[in-house]
Amino acid sequence: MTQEVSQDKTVATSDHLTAEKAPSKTSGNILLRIWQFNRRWPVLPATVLILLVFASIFAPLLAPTEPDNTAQRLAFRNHPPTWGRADEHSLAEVPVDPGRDASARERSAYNRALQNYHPQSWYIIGGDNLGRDLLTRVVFGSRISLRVAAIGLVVGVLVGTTLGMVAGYFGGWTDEILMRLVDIWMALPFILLALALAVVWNNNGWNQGWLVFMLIGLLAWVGFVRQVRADSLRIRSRDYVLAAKIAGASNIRILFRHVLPGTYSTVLVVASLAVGGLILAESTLSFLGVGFPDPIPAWGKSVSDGRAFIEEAWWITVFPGGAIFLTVMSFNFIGDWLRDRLDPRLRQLD
Amino acid sequence: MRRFILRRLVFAVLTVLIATFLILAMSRMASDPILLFAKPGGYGFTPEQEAALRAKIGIDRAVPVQYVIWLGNALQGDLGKTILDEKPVARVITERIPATVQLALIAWFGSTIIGVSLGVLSAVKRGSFWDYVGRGIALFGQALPSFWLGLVLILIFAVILGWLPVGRRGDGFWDIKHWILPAITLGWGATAAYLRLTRSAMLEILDSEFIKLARAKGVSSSTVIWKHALRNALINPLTASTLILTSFLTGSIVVEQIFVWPGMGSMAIVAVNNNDFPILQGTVLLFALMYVVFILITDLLYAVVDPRIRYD
Repeated sequence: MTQEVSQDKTVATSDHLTAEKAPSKTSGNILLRIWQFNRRWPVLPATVLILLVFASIFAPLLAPTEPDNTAQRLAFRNHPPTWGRADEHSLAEVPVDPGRDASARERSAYNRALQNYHPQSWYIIGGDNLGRDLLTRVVFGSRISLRVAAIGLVVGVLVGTTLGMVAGYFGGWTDEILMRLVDIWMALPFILLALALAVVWNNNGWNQGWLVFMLIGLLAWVGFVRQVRADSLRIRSRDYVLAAKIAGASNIRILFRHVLPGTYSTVLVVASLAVGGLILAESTLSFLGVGFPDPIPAWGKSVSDGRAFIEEAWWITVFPGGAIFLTVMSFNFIGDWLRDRLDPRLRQLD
Repeated sequence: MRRFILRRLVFAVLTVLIATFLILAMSRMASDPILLFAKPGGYGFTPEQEAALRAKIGIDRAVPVQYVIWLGNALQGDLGKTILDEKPVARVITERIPATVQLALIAWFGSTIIGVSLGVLSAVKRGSFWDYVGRGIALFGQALPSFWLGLVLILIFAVILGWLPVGRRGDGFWDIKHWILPAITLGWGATAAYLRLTRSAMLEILDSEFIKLARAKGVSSSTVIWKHALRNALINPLTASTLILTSFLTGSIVVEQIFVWPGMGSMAIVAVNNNDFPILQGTVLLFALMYVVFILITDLLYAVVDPRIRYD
């Protein structure tokens, strides 16, 4: 039995594993080798993701400035990237506070100096359209993306797995109704509904941040239902489930003790493949103005901020968008890898 | 088969009904449409006038009743009038359809041709330069946010190189300069999807017994690839293509927004912001109709191209 399974896996993953081994013997192309190595041990994407998590945890320590220091810095809007070199605004020392007893003139001179002052570490990748340090915005933006992805996944896993399990286990009308619900859900034009829902939300004065979490949750659950249902269908006819039934176990007990553990690897794979899509969805919503309210830094919003200034300040668009791209690509890469490792059956589905 | 189609039709009607009802309920929850004209109880706005206005724009009854009335009219081809400038909704929407359809068709043809042929190429010449081009596109395609891709294309080709205009539709279908960037932005992700589907299907089929037999029989390599293998590998991309076209027709909101493309997507955004619900409802009706029709076509296509699939 074990041998059969392992053989099965080699056949199923032959596309990625053996196929990549074969040409590497003949060609010594370095890029090719890096690619192949990453396919087997995804070090580069994993590094990107670890950096991302690190950045979002330690954002206040890593970021050169406060995430939202707009008020004072309008003089530096669309500031070009300094790449860490000193420019004409970089002052060697912090302006000295003249103290409480200073005259009005001294006070205002100090305030002006403070407004124009920025240390060398600011604007490394430029400033945005309100003079905020873009690097800070990108570092703090990673928090938003990860949080949204995490909450979307939790909702998706809980709702999607439960429904899929129930649909597959009970079958019949329950199954029919749930699956039609999924079909109808997928037929709804998501972005349009999200936009309409956003208007409802704002006009009723509800917290806009919760809207994003809800929208992402609404998007996330569908992907799990079908796959988990397939697993659950397969498991319910297993002998151990029958045995449990005969022993008098309740449906709930069977579902959670016997069916659920059998779906773990599917859930893990679907989840890892879904993260990238959820992050993309969140950034698209932010780009369309349905995301988090304004002072909160989100990557999609930075891209949309830069849209009007693309001729004079390309960095506002390019860097946050690049962060989205790298993150999503890394998650997809890891997702593919996990799928090949854990569940070759799903490999053909993309 | 007939039972399957019947069931699908019931589902299609249900989908359309639910989608349109949802959007009406939402737009009514969003705000009172009367606010577009005047504030109830405002200066010089008598309750009688308010009631008359409500009756005129059709919001004087309960939401479910309004929905039934709207549905009855829609079945007769009357989608009502827009709230702000009182134009017939059907005309407002049909004016926008050509632009969206043009862009969707171009992106669809382009991504199908490029995606499928690169997919075949990268499967046949596995490990070659083309294979890595294909895999690169497949990997990037799913991760590139389309709004960002559009802006970066604008930055490179319109701002830095100055070859192409930044946006707008231009005149006529053959105004390539205007549609090339939006079409690439729209079609990029789909190209990657086609590529992945074709590549993995081709790889699987090239490995199968009947291909080995054909090769052993002495059939020429190109016949094996284009006739024996590709025909079988095309099932997945072919059926995916209807879904991709639907997503282009209904999902071009972001691309239309970036390139100031005068299609249905940009109209829908304006309608959402104005709470002009008749337009929204008409659009959602159209989108949902397109979706269910294409889904039906997809399921039927499956049975046509793969005789092993039967829906009984």
